[in-house]
Amino acid sequence: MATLLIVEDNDLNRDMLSRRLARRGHSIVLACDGPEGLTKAYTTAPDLILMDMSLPVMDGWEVTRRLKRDPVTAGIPIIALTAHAMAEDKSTALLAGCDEFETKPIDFERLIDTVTRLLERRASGHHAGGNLA
Amino acid sequence: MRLASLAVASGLAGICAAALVGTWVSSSMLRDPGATVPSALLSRAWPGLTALVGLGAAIGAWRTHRRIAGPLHQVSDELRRWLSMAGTGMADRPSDDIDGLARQVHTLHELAESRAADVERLDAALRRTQAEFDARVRERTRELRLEIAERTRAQGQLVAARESAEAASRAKSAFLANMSHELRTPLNAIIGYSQMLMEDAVDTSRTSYDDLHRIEQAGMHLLALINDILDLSKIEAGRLTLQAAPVDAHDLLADVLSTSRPLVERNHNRFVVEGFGTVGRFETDPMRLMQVLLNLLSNAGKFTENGTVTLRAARQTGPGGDQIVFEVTDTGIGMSPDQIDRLFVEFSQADGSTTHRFGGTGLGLAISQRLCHAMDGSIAVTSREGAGTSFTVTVPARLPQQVLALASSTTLDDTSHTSPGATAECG
Repeated sequence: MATLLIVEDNDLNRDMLSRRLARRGHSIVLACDGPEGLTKAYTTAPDLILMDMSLPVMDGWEVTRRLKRDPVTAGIPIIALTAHAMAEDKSTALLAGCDEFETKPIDFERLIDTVTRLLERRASGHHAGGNLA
Repeated sequence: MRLASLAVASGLAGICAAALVGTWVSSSMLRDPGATVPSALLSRAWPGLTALVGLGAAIGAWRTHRRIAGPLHQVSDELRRWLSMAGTGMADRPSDDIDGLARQVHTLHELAESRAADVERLDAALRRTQAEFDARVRERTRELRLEIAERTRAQGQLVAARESAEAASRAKSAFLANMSHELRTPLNAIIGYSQMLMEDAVDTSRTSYDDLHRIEQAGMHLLALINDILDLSKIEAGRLTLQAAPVDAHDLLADVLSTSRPLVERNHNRFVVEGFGTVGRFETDPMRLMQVLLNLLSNAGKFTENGTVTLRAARQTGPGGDQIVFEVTDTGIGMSPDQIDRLFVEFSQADGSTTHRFGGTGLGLAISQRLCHAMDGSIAVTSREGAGTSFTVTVPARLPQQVLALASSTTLDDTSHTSPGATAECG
């Protein structure tokens, strides 16, 4: 299956989410803050990133902006995860370049659907563009 | 002395004077020996001469009388007229003599003096009144200045109070938004781990699965509460977003049914739908309208067993304009008048045990009512204990411009309501 990078500073949520996604057959890479997430996006070349927006050191919006600016990483779909339920959070996340937006507590089945859809879209885009593995 | 007699007397005096003059002339002539012939002539003409002089004197007297008495009469008449105007008794008395005239003049003089005194008295009174009036005006002006100052101060205080209240409301809203964020993070772990363990337990241990299901349900309930509190605080902080969109009654019904059917039918209830075919298209905030209808249907299903829940829709044009009316009627446990009174108040389910028995946050109807008002609509309820409940929601067929204008400056994310699980448990 696919490699998913989870950038999440809360230990419990990172552990829970990674284990549940691993059960669905994905291989998981973990990062605890913004800079680590940025580094691992380059070093592990994930198929998709699940990004918490409220991160220490560098927040999720900034990491997303940087990844989407760089042609090397711009093609990686990013799902924003946030516990904020305000509209501005969603619009900020989408403006920063996030492909989807999920509010915590995560509706896991919906998240799985979104992940699958984005991976499929990327795969078809990949075939058309012949860009990344 | 009367004026007429004065004239007569002066006439007689003239005649006498003429006679005396004649007598004196003739006698002196007679005594003069050198004048004989003319003396004889004179003595013969004497009576005639005397009469002539007398007549002249009488005419003179008469003319004198005319010249003096006439104007005196006029003066007297004029005085009488004035005295009459002044209201003295003297006007009635004839005053053809000089004394009368003098009395009239004297009276008039006294009258003038008394009038002058009156005028002086009035003038003094007027000056006093003027001074009093000026003092009162000054006093009132001072009072008004104080009053204006007091009101300005009160107004300033009101403005400050309002600003402080608005600031407090914004702070509360921000606080609740942050609280919501802080609460969601651990809740995410609780629900996530419960679900993960349930996946494990579903095949191995029935008891573990049931317990985990309880944890998950409690987590979901907590989430519904957080969502509702966040909703309510947004509505109260004026941050409610209304997004007008054209709505087709059939599409709305399909959306409502897909979510509400399991909620309505859970207690073996029959779900009846009526009237949507006659409503056609209208404009509202479909998310908000759905939220209200799902809340009412969820409640109806919750408080009715082996009964019927009816969802009716109708379009009506009346004095209130073009309106859409939705009615959710159930044959459930109903409510007492006391319970109806507290119905739209936050956390006021019929009794404390209701939340535990029937679930829900106790905020659904409070939110529904506020949403209806925000959409310039209304919500009403009729119910009888043991005989069921009927809610009527009325919304305008077109959202008024001012409602949208108010909402345009606000932001509220709808994702917190789209989860059917969360919405369904409201109320």
